[in-house]
Amino acid sequence: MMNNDDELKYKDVIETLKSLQKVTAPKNFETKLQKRINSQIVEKKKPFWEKFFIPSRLVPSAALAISAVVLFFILTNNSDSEDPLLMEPKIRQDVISSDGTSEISLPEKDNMNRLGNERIEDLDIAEFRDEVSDSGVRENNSPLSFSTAEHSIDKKGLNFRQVNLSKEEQESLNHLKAQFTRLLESSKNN
Amino acid sequence: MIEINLNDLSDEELIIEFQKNNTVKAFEILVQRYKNPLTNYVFRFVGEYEACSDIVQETMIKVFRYKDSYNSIAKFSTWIYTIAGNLARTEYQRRKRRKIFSINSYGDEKDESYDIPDESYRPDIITDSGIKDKIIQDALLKVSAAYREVVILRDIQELSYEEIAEITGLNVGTVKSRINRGRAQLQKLLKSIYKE
Repeated sequence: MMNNDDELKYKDVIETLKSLQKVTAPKNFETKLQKRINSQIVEKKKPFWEKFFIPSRLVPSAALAISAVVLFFILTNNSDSEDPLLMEPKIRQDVISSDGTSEISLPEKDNMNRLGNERIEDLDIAEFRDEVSDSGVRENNSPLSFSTAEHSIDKKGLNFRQVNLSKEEQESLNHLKAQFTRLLESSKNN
Repeated sequence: MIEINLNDLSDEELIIEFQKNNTVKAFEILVQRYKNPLTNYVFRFVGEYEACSDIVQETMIKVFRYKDSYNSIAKFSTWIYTIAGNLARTEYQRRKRRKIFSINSYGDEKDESYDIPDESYRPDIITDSGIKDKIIQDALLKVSAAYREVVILRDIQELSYEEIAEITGLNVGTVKSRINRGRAQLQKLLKSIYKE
């Protein structure tokens, strides 16, 4: 019912559209269609290998194959080398002296300047010596580096660090020394 | 063996014959039956004869190549109209984009107004009786594509609402409302004709 109402409402439009001339296909429609279908069939019937071996199609696949081979070789060569995290550390030959003589190298000038203002007590050096005699080996780049085979230091030629003291410092040092000798003497007397 | 006259077979029987036995003659009969209705439908939708001819050819090629995808439950006419409709819509959108692009690029180069050449107008072809036809066709092309499609299928191709719903993939209610909206738009556009 509603459809009929709508169709009555737009009756003029519907009649106008129905009166339009029918458009027909061109005369050569079938011939043209036949040609297009045949060309598609020929294209479809090409053997697989013929389609595959077109140079333009071969290039990307060849490139892929070559890169795969290269990658394979790179990976297999790398697998021979040891994992750096699991490797034993190398023994440094340069820190072990072969001649067995004790040798002490003074720190370089730069290091001297850096340490210039520091006070080095005799006691500290002695402690350092003990420490070294225990461990035996010390790295070369430390301020007082040496190497020995006998775990002992020859005092001969041992160059203690020269510290230039100011007058005040010298006086306080002398004062301390005097106090120390007094204490030593009193302890002897007791 | 009983010889079957293929011309007596229905569309559905012909396409099944083509599917099962690859009988090219069955396909040819289908082409014969549908080339004109499809040409009329696509031309009214796209508005250009050459493009419409190509679309119909493409539709037939798709039927030929993808004959196995036809489901015997569906009507053959709705299947082939769906293919043609999809192709027509794609072509229409493509042309629309191209036209917009060409207008924009022209405006960029030269700052002057111009008229889009009407390719469908052919004074050597159009006769007096054809002038009215052209006015109606122009008005039809001004109706929005979604409405135009269903109006053509209903009022020019004279298909049922159910068939249109199947072709467009819409429900019947939507089809009916779109048809009425399209008709209303056309009525406005064709006022001058009705006054005469």
